[in-house]
Amino acid sequence: MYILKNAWKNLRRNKGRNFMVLLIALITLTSVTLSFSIKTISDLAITRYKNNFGVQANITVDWEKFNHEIPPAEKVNADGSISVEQNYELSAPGLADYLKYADSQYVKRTLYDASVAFASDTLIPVPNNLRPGAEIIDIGGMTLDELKKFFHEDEAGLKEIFGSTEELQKVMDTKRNCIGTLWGFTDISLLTDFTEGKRKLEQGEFPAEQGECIVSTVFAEQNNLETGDTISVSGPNKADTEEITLKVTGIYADYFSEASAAELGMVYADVITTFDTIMDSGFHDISINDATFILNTPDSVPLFLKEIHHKGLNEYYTLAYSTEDYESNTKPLENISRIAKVFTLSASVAGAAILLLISFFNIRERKYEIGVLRAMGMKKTDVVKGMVYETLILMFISFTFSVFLGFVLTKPMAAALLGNLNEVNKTLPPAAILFSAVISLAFSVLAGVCSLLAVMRHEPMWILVERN
Amino acid sequence: MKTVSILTLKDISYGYDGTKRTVLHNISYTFEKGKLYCITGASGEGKTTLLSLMAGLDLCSSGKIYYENRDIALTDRDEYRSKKVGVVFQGYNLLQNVTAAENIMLSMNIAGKQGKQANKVAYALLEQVGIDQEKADRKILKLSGGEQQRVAIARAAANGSPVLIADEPTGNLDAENERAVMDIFKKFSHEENKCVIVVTHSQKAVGEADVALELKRGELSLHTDH
Ligand SMILES: Nc1ncnc2c1ncn2[C@@H]1O[C@H](COP(=O)(O)OP(=O)(O)O)[C@@H](O)[C@H]1O
Ligand SMILES: [Mg+2]
Repeated sequence: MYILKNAWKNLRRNKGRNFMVLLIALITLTSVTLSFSIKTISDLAITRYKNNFGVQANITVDWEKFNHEIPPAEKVNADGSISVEQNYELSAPGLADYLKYADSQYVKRTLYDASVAFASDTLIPVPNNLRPGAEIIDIGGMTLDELKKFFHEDEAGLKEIFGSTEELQKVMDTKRNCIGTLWGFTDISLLTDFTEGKRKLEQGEFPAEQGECIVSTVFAEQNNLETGDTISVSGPNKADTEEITLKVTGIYADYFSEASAAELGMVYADVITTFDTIMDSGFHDISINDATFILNTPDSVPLFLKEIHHKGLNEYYTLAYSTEDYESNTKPLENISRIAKVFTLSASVAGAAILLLISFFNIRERKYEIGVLRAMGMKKTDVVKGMVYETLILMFISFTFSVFLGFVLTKPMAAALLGNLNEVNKTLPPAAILFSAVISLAFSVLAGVCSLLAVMRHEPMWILVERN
Repeated sequence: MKTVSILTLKDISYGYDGTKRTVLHNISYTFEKGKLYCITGASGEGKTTLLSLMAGLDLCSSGKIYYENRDIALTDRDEYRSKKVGVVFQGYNLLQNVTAAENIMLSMNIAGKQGKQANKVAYALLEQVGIDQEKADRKILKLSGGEQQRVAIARAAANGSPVLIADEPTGNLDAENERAVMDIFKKFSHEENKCVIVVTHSQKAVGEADVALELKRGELSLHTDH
């Protein structure tokens, strides 16, 4: 007990020096606390960005590889002209493939854009005269004879037109009453027509839950629909006997120019819903228009590519990705985090070095004192204990003040360095307090080791005898 | 009166590390409780060296020192210094930035005496050597050489040790103060039954001693003139 008391008295006896130590420790610990908080805050923001953005990757044909390995064959035509032909059929992945690929540890989530035609007997189709310039000819559901007659072709010619027997069959299996297209998106950010201003939500809200949808003003008028009403639709294939019911949560207006409206044809009969709604409908002939994989990090790209090739993706397909989005957000934060880390370490080391130097001089100065105490019979361990107590008291005071300063300064400093991040509103992270505590303890241990060495090395007697 | 030996030197020799010369040669002597000893000798004869060994600050090169029949080389010498022997060093060896009273209390704390009682004893001891309350609360730096010497004496006595060793404790004192200090040593030895060993150059001091010893050419012998 008297050792602790004496340590406290010693601190007051040497006000000048100890105040200096206190100040240096305080500056060091405050710098460490602040830079550690900045690092923690920027890391939090980076993690959030990574979780939100990741790296967007799309499956595309690797044309470079394809053209290199399968050079187009030159063919001399009958008229003597030369045409270039690729004698290799690239098979694009379908919905099932995408779903299989998406089930991967490298994929944070997948953005899908899928569509399927829908049929209905109750809903009234948007008349062709409401589709400016459109000339829709519905060939769905025709018999083979009707198709032959319509296209003036024999069966072989029809296969040529539709690409394959299956495609031809699909046309014949299609219901007659397909009146529109159901579009399913995983994310409203994928609704580019809306972000580009070609469409605008006039009433209600975008579909968020499964079974919700929005319809166009024209379609709504035609069918007397208001938000809150429900519509029932079935799949496009004659085998699709089940209907699904969709709740209209909003109505949008189209602002397409005439030309593009003509191209799109059935634009007014687009019903927009969620991806899950389409997937769970069980309808036939769902097509995937776009699938974007959000990968965890840029490092995941080659690993994921290897994995999907392994899962059966044609070797001439690869991943197109861009880290720009991701990096433009995380790069500055990563820089700040790195600088903060370096600063934390250098402040710790610099502080330790200065305190070590002071400790060193302190002990030279106190060699005599150590000698006197030892001559009076004080145990080596007690002498060291006294010196360690002194350091601990100083460090505790510095630490307490540094935490206080950390609380006060973290927010404005983070705001100045990091701008308007959500994370900036957090106060001093507990990890920073812990780290500062660890550093103070490390300083104390360092000073303690210095004292220990000094007490061990200097046999006290001769300090005293030498003085005479 | 029955004599009780307390500190026994048996054939002790000593030479400083790194030097060839032996400062002390085969000294044997027995010190007793209740007596005041004076040791004289020319400068450089090894008086301080001898006291350092008796004070448990270093070990003999050969021979043994017994404290109450126990070889001090084999005992806890921290304990020995803090409780069995009090030393007035030639250079006082007081803590400079600490008050006189605190110097004394620290010595008592180390010997395991703490609390309010220790506080009282410290001031009483200082009073005994002529340091009043006001001076007792001054830092050592702000006391004169003579005052520091007396504080050092008070500190040596403070741990209540049976042996008190003083290295030229009256060197800086005038005749009157020297008398006073020697009276204190006499009181410690005769009234408190301590064994008091004083190194001195002063003939007057030697005159006060019960036993006068002389250290010469590394050997300790009874003073011829005494
Ligand atoms: N630390 C030391 N190292 C080597 N020699 C020393 C040391 N201290 C004292 N001496 C030598 O030992 C001898 C005795 O010294 P000391 O005991 O101080 O004499 P005294 O106290 O009688 O004047 C002297 O010759 C001195 O030079
Ligand atoms: Mg001497």
